[in-house]
Amino acid sequence: MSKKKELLRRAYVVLAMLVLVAILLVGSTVRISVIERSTWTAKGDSTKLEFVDIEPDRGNIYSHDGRLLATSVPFFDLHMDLNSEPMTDRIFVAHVDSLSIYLSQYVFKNESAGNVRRRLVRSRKAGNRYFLIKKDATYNELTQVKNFPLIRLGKYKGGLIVERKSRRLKPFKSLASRTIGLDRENAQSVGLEDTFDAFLRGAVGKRLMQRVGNGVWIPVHDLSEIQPERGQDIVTNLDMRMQDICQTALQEALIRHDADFGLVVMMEVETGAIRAMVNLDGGTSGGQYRERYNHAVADATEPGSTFKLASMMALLEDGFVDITDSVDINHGRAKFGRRVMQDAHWRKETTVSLQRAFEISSNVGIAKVVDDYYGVGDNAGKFLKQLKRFGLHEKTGIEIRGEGAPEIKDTDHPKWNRHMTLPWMAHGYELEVTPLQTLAFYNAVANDGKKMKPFLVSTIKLGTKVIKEFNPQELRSKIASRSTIAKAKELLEGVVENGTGRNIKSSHYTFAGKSGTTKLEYWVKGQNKYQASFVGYFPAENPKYSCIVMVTNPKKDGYYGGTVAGPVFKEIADRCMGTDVSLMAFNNNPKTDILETLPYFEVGYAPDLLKVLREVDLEFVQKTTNDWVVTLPAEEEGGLVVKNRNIDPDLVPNVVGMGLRDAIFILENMGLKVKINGSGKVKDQSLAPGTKLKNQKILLYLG
Amino acid sequence: MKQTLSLKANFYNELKGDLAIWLVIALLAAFSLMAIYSSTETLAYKERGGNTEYYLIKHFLILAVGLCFTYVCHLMYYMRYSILAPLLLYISIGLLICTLLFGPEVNDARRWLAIPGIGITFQSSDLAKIALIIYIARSIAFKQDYIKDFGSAFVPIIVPVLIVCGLIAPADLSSAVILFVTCLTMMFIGRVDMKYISILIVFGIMLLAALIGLGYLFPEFIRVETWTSRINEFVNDPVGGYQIEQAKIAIAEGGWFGVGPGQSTQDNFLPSPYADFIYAIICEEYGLLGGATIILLYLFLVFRCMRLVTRSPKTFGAMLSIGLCLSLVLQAFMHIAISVHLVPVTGLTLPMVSMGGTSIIFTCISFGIILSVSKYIEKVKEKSELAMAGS
Repeated sequence: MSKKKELLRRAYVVLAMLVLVAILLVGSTVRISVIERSTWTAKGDSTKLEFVDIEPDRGNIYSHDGRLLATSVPFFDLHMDLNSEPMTDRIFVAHVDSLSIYLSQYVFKNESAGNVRRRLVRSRKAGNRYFLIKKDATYNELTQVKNFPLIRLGKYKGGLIVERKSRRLKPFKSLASRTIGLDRENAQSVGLEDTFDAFLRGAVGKRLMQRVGNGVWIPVHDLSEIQPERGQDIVTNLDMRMQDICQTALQEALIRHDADFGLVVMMEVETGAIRAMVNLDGGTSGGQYRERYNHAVADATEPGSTFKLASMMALLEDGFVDITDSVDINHGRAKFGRRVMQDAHWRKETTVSLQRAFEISSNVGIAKVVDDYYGVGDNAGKFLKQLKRFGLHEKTGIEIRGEGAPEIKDTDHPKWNRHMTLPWMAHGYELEVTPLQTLAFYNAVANDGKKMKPFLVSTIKLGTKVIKEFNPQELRSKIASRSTIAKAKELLEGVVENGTGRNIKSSHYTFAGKSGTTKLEYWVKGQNKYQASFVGYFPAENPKYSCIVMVTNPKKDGYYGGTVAGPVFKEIADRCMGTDVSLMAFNNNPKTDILETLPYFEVGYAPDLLKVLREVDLEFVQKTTNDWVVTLPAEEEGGLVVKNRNIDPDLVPNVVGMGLRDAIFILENMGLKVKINGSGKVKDQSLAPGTKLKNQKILLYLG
Repeated sequence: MKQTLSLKANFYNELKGDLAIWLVIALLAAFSLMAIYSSTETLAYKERGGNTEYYLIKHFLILAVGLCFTYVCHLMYYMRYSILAPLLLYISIGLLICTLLFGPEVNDARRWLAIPGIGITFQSSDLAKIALIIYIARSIAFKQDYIKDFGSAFVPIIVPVLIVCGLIAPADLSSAVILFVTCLTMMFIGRVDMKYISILIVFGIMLLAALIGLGYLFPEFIRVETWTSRINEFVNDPVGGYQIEQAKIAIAEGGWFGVGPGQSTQDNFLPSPYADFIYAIICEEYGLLGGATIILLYLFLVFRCMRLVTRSPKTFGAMLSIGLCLSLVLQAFMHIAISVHLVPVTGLTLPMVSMGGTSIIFTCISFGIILSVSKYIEKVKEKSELAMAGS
């Protein structure tokens, strides 16, 4: 046989074998795609895949002072794929014992390790690819589980399936909760969560999920996953300290007067930034007031006497009157058309100045003047024109859905009554505005005529990157002339000085405002339901904040705006004046009035103490550069020296005179166990200064 | 008429070699583009924000570059490869050692090497495969006169085979086995004594056993656990495990004529459908018809290369073309055999069809060398026919 022939023969053998292989391959394909087709396609149907949305982390909502108002806290559902391919028998057997011990110790706490092991083994045998470990696990629990035996071998060998969910939390609970709002799936979202949803929401991701059983889906560890994009954060103008002040003050008043509900809105005069917005509704089951509905934004109601400011300003603006002009109030009783108008009570005066009529909130006085000047000829239109100049017919445009629309009748309105509408409008009836709209109007007066748009959100951020900033916006640059504004302010200050707000006058600072007592459902005979309100601003000379307080249907202890809502306003103003550093500047009385004695024997951390001394402009002689110091009287009269307070690391220090924070810091750093008794500064200590240190306990007496 | 004729003539002049093989290449590339476009859909959504054309265009460009390599390689006189063979083999062995020691670990295995400076990575085994086949073809051809001898023929041929396959095996056992079988078949055709080949088969099995033993001692170098679990699964699981189950569902969904281009749903279930399971995707979208076409195309390639063996005046040319052809076809058949559950699961691509970077280039180079052989055989044939006509 020639070489060539042998080679060819062998080549043909190879060729023949390859042909056989090819036939086998085609045959196998035919077997699967034709003969066994239905078996496999049925299997295919049972392992359906679907892209499932992965919800992104919703953005946070922050307060003006950087505190977290709403955030999404992640939690996890943990399962195990006990049939994952890389989890071989060898691996499973090697780790199942220790895994069972861990699971029974940390997760299935009521179950013995042996029992857990039996369940694991049985589930693996049954081909369970979705063995429940824990639902709603926290992040810490997840990290813990990830370190368990077997599971820590990684995503594939370990078989851990982590599904992430999130829950919305409000760290401040009920504070401003209605303003912050709710993000709901099955109902209309409310508040800022609703308005800024587009920013907060982020972008939904996609994950491929496979159905492995009845209604059970597991993520397919594949490339087909689109990561969700985190939502953006919004920073609000709300100041949690002020919100807290307002809520506390309002809640006390609501309980005291057993009112249906109440609200407070506080606004920064210069910018229109809302610093606090409280809405409290009485519960059906006694006592508990909660944020349930945003009355401040949504409820357009008859404002009552607080509207008299608008009437007065219209009169002043049109040059019809001055505040010194007199008006005959006829003991607080007058007839317009067929109806009798009465003041809140019988008055002994007949003729008073307009200013006085405003201060005592005489319905008759204001109605009469308005009717006298605007009731003649076509003048009614002029009155309405002024109200429109004040912007009282417009919504404020606050960033919350459902702002109530103000209603001010035109003269051609079918219900316009030639005799009665105007006088009643003059003192705040036959028209509707929301509390926020009233506040925005008063704020404009405080802001020298410039009407600012009330707004809740200042910034939208992603991490530290600013996405969008909202600047203060003017609604109207000048609602009235300078002299009208000045007189309006004088009127409002007069209310607190001599009028219905006299009871809440403060000796430390001045504020201005107007009370309102609106009769509700006056068309129902024999019903006495009122809405007490007070709206104003403080400090009067250089207004920083404006504020409206409204208490609806107080049933105990009076119902007048001045006596129900006024004290709430004062409480709020007092606390703001007392705690807001920027407001203290207005209150800078001479030093001697504040300090009765020099701060002798103050012990503390030098940088802190010196900062305080410098801040209050106290002169002192510094005789040490140590960290811990004490202030002592100087040799000459009235002087102050700062001397070293010696702290030896091996001896019990003298902490008498220190604040508790400093004392604990020093003592615990030395390894002492501190126990305390009483409150205040350290008055005495159980271990004498200078004794040797050896892990003792020390008891501090405070006082 | 005249113009078209001359155009045809030009085309024929440009593309020398067996036109039938060119046609096989073109058809495989066309299948490749169609299947890649549909099976990279999820990849495109994950990596490229839904730009499904991205992978199609990238793959198209790689194929184009690969075909340029085919063209250049087929222009070279094939005997030149014989001269280059020893050098190429030494370089390959060096690179294989480097890969095993320093290559980056991807999916628990070190298979890749980066070409310094240009950031292109390639599997050193791809290069070693071609180098070894050329070298073995050369050895067999040169030792034809004493090929049945043990010391002077068999040993010098088998030693490089064992070295190269032994170096590839730790990271990529399936490629090593295919290469080993390819070389064995080449030796069989090349008239090596059956006695020695039988010994070699026994030896190969022993080598495999030795490797598995070593793997238990050095688990970080050799992926024994992966192998044993795959084989276990093949032997014990009637369905063949998740991947095979999904592949079978894909093939079954296709039926006779397929669900149509881009309609595959199983590409979501199969891991890397554009590489290790492209045959299943082709079956799903183009049915049994598509799958059988692929098998027939590879079989046709074998026929055309066997034709070269019968005509080649030089043993080297014959051995070279059949060797390269076998390495492609064996891999292709192995890939298909995995999908239809005839062998245990392993990650093997379908040459010329699966998506890939440098591996496609190496496949194209193999085709180029095969075509180079065919081109010179035709030239010789023409010459002899001319001589016949002249005489």
